[in-house]
Amino acid sequence: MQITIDIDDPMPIFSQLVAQIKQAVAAEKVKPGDPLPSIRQLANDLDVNSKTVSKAYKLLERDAVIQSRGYRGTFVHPEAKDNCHIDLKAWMTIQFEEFISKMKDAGVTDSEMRITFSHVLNDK
Amino acid sequence: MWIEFIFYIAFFSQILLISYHYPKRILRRMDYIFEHCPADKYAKLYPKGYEKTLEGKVLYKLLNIIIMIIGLIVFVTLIIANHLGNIELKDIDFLPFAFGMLQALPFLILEISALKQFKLMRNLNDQTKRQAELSPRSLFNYVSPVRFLTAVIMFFACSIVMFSFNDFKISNEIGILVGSMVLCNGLFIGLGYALLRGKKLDPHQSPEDRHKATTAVFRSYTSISILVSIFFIINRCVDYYSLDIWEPLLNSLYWQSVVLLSTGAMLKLTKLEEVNYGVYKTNASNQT
Repeated sequence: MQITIDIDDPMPIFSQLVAQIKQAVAAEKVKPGDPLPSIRQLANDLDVNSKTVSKAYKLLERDAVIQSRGYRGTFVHPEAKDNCHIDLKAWMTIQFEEFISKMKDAGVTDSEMRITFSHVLNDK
Repeated sequence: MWIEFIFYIAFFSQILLISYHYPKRILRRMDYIFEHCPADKYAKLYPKGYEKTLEGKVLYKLLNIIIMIIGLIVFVTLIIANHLGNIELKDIDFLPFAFGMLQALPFLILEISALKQFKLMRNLNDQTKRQAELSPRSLFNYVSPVRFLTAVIMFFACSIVMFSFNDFKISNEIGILVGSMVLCNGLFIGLGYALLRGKKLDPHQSPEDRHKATTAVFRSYTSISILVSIFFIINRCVDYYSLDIWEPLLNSLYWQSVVLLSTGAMLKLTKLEEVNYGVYKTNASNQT
């Protein structure tokens, strides 16, 4: 199974990696428990910075599509096929839309929301 | 007398094998590429330009011819000197090795030139699409565990044998022998690691060709590692049992075996007819 990235694509490289690995899982080209290449190997093969691959792996791990088992390496998560369809970004957009609409109904202005959001985010 | 005769055959074979046979096969491979992949259609294969590559080929051929002539002169001189009783086999134990080093020079230049070519290929590579395998590479994808374990066991067996000949005492001689063995195997480990985890040398090479080339290299490394261990054991036996007269013959055979297992194996395992040259085409955008 091969993945291809395009460095001229407007989509960030880490997003291309996340999307392609999720596609490979969805198409059952990689199966639960299958080992994945190390960050260094993938970064060297694609000739990209290892931080880019690391970021993609962290996002995939957060979405429970892959799992890291320490020195043994990184593997496809047992529930990967179900989890790869979960779109956190889409879910987040819906949550924000609902929240913003509630705030607007209560009379909160856009700038108040921005400042408060920024404060809360910085305090976390 | 018969040992001398066998040595002459071995030394003559060393001259022909390393300075005539293998260079001829390599030159034939170069011709095959020049013929099947012309520079105007396969520009990526000639990052230095066609003329420069051709110059390299001529230089390689010339160097090997000069070394072969030197070898033949040495060979004839040896026979005459030995016939006249001016020289004995035990006096020339270094000769097959020293001449072997000279014979290795064109191969070394070829390797360095190939590395430079790959670097230039990487610098000139303007492909925006890049591919990678979504599976981890491990040593045992390329070499069987039995072969690898044999090399490891031979390394330890050789170390024990060398120490046992010295009553398990550490001396300068043993230190140098063990040190050179560790250095040789360490070099293989380092190069092997770079092949497994490092960057692709050839940016255009297809994954299948990369797999084949890496397999050939790992097989060659393990074979040479085993051979080095065997050679060191034999070398210690020769010293211990005062078989000095055998040393030049064994050195010549050892050197030929090294070339047979490295260059010979590489030529055998990487068949030019099976290489995907499409990736080197001037307008090839995809790697497969």
